Amino acid sequence: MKKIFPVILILLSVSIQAQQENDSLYALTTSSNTVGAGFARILDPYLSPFEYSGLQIRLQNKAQKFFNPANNKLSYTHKGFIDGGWAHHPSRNNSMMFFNTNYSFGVNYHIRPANNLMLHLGGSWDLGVGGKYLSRNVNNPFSLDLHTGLNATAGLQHLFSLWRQDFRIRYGAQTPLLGCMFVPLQGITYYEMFMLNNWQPAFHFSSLHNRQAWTHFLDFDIPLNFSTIRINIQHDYLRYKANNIVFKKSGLNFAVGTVVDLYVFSGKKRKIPTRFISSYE
Amino acid sequence: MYFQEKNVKSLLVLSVLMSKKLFHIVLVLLLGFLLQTCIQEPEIKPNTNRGNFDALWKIIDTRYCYLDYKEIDWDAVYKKYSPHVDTISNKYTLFDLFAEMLAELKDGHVNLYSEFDKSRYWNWFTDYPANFDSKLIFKNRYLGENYRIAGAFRYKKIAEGEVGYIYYGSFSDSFNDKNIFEIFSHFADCKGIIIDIRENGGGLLTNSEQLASCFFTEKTLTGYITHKTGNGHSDFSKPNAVYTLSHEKLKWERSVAVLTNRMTYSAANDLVCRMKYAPKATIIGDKTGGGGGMPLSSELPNGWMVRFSASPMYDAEMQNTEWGIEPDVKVSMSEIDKLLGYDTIIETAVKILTKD
Repeated sequence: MKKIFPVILILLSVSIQAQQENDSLYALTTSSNTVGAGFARILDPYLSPFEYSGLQIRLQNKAQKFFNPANNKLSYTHKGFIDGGWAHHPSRNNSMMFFNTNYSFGVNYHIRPANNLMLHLGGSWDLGVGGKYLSRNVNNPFSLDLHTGLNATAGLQHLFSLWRQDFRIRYGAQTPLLGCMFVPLQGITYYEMFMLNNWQPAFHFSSLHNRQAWTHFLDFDIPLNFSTIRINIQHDYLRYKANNIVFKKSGLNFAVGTVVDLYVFSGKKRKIPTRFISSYE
Repeated sequence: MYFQEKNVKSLLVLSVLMSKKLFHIVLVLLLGFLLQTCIQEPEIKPNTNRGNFDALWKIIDTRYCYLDYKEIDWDAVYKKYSPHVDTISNKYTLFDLFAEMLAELKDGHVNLYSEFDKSRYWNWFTDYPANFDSKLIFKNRYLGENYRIAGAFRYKKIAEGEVGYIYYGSFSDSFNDKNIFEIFSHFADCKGIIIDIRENGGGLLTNSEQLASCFFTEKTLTGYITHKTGNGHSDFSKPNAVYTLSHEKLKWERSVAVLTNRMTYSAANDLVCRMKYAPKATIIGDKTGGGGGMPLSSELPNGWMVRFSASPMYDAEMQNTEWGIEPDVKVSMSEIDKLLGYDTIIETAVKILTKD
């Protein structure tokens, strides 16, 4: 199966010396980049008591690698995305712009219960910054989204062949466990917070009792000659409450992108390994 | 408590009846269900006459900050206007009814915005003398035609060069330190300056803060602000002190007169509130129009937007500034002066600034 998903060698420093061979096992970084679009629904009572709905676009990068090539059970993941869009009041009389950025670092434990089937369980820490802008509002046109926390993650991956072609299907899910989030009182202005430094009570401990969310996705990877194409569908749901106000955001996103295994090295005397291991296999 | 005990008993029974694995699955599902109930979403009013009316009434009931201060019986207002809601058949009449209801608040910061109209309450200045005539300030005695403009300020030396006159018409119009530097340089040989903020209906508070800072020699407590912490009419936070800092580079250390009338409102009212504590400032003219509540916005099911006072502001003695601020020297425009081409309030300010 290793031969199926192409390996792309990223040569950061190319030299004749670098072409010496090395028999040790090397952990490749499996990196995916996707671009997608979808639907979003947003409830932010700081701006409006009504749920806005509209379209969003999202760019996402994920990179996964084993900590130690000799141990194919423990990997780490870097994930980052940026999304933004435009949503409308139910009456279509007003519009809101929104954006989100998120970075997470996760650790996964790989279990292989059957051939070509892999389960991974783990956790991640993430940091999210975003905002919504309702231009018509006076003194509360902007609402800042800020949170950080620990999440539980799980995934299932299956490799299979069909019509002499190999495919990979991956399902993943994530839910927050505990963290910290920024939710100002509904009656306070950003002027009072930012200009007069009155921040209380704007930062809240979050856990399952006041922040419930899940993200789940389905990836369908199709290997081609020089790369692997990914088709992705992702559903996000977030609901949180603080200062007696309830916020919601949900989205359904469809994306396409590529998946590559990266060999990253630097230095003139680094030997190119001949044996590789990818955390996706 | 009963609910909790009942749940615990149910779980114990389940644990006996089921295998360990199954029990854990059910436990997780139950936990999920209980956690779901931790976050109850508020009721959303439907987009009907009644739904819009109830939504508007509730926004004011829970978020408007002066119901108790103004001794407004908001429940009585509901009873007064509610019977008319179901008889209305078009959006214009509905808008007018809502506007009439909001006028009960007697607040210039309360407006209803629709795609076809904006409701307003203007009695806070229309019921009072204007004490301003824009034609007068553009006579040669004052700004004339050859005044300078720096940022949002129109300025010129008046009273034979002894006084610098600045007209600032809106705090929504911005300026920067360089503008102020140029104006202060231009007025360097003047005995004092006049900042005329009559007819200034407000704008950005940061502009008020920036302008006021040029007349303070040290950080000074000039007011307080509170905000609503709950839905009750008197659920407010502790007052948060508002200080006016001394500008790092720009200082006018001679006399300054601030001219006011009833249309000096909102952020302009805030400037007056700050300047009351400036060491060499005198407030001259009529009582300001007020507008001491910092406004926020919300929306109705039909998409109309309502703006309302949300955070009350006070002076340094914790006096509410919603109804306006009294000047140090109360002066009204004289009709005879007007006919002669004089602005009584500017003339008074000139006398005060040049008396030494």
